[in-house]
Amino acid sequence: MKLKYEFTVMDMGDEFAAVPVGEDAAKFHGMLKLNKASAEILELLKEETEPMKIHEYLKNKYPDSTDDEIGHTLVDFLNKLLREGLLTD
Amino acid sequence: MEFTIKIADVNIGITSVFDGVSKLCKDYLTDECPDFCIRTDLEDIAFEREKAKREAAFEHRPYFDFSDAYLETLAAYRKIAVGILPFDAFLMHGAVVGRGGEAYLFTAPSGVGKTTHTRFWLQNFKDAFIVNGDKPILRFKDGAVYACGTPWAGKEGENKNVMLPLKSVCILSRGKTNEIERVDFGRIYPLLIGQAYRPATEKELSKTMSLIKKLGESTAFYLLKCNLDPNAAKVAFEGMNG
Repeated sequence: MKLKYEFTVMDMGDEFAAVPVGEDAAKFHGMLKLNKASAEILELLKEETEPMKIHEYLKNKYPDSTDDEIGHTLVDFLNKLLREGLLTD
Repeated sequence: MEFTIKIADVNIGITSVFDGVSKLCKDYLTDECPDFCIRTDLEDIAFEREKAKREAAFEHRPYFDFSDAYLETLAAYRKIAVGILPFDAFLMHGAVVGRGGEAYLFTAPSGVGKTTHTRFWLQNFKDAFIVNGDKPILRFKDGAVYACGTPWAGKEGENKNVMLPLKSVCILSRGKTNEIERVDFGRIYPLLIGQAYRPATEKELSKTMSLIKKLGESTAFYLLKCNLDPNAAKVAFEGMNG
């Protein structure tokens, strides 16, 4: 899976704002509010990847978090992207 | 046709196919040298037509085939909205009212009642006027942010060729009573991003978002819940000057 569109991500203080780029992306009128972890997931999804690879990356980056905590964060965010139609299959 | 207009203290050279753009811009013409130039052609007009068709289909709205001259005005503003970004200026969907030498920007998704609310300002305050009823430009200059009139002002076309310091930004929503509260930028910036003109390239979009962020650091934001009582204008003005 990977992102359908390129995103511009901006640090807005306590969170990040992600807005899709391009004419096609106008179909998605909104924007995504991201925390640090979801901003990192979004970055990884610029390239073709798999949920388990992202999980592995986050596990190495956040060793104090449990597998399940990372899994919940990942699944919630991927579901959000899927609902908004922002991911390729 | 070739002519130059001044918007937001920026001189813009325009070359167009039809005279619709120059007629629209008659109050903004200048003899000064352009800071940047745009050109619209038949390809741009065809792009606008196809875009309008696509959007109508996507939103399940009826499609109306506007004239080439009108579509060219849309194409011209699209190019101006991108060309003006390096001048720290961006296009925001909203209505700007001027009063007492300052500007108040009202923004909301379409249909909430920006036009109705700004009419209440005109009814209540004899010295109030519409700077732009639909698509003003906001510009940062010399440490301040200004709301600028432009000829592109929606179907009512209300605009005035002025550039006023922006006092505050007010998000409108419908309410049973008229209430205003000051809100943090963090609460409303997604709406601002949604209401700003969204350029097609990463570089231009990133610049737009950085200007919105800068707006958050330099302006007061309010949330106005309002009904159809003209006193909503007094509540808004007093709330933003309390």
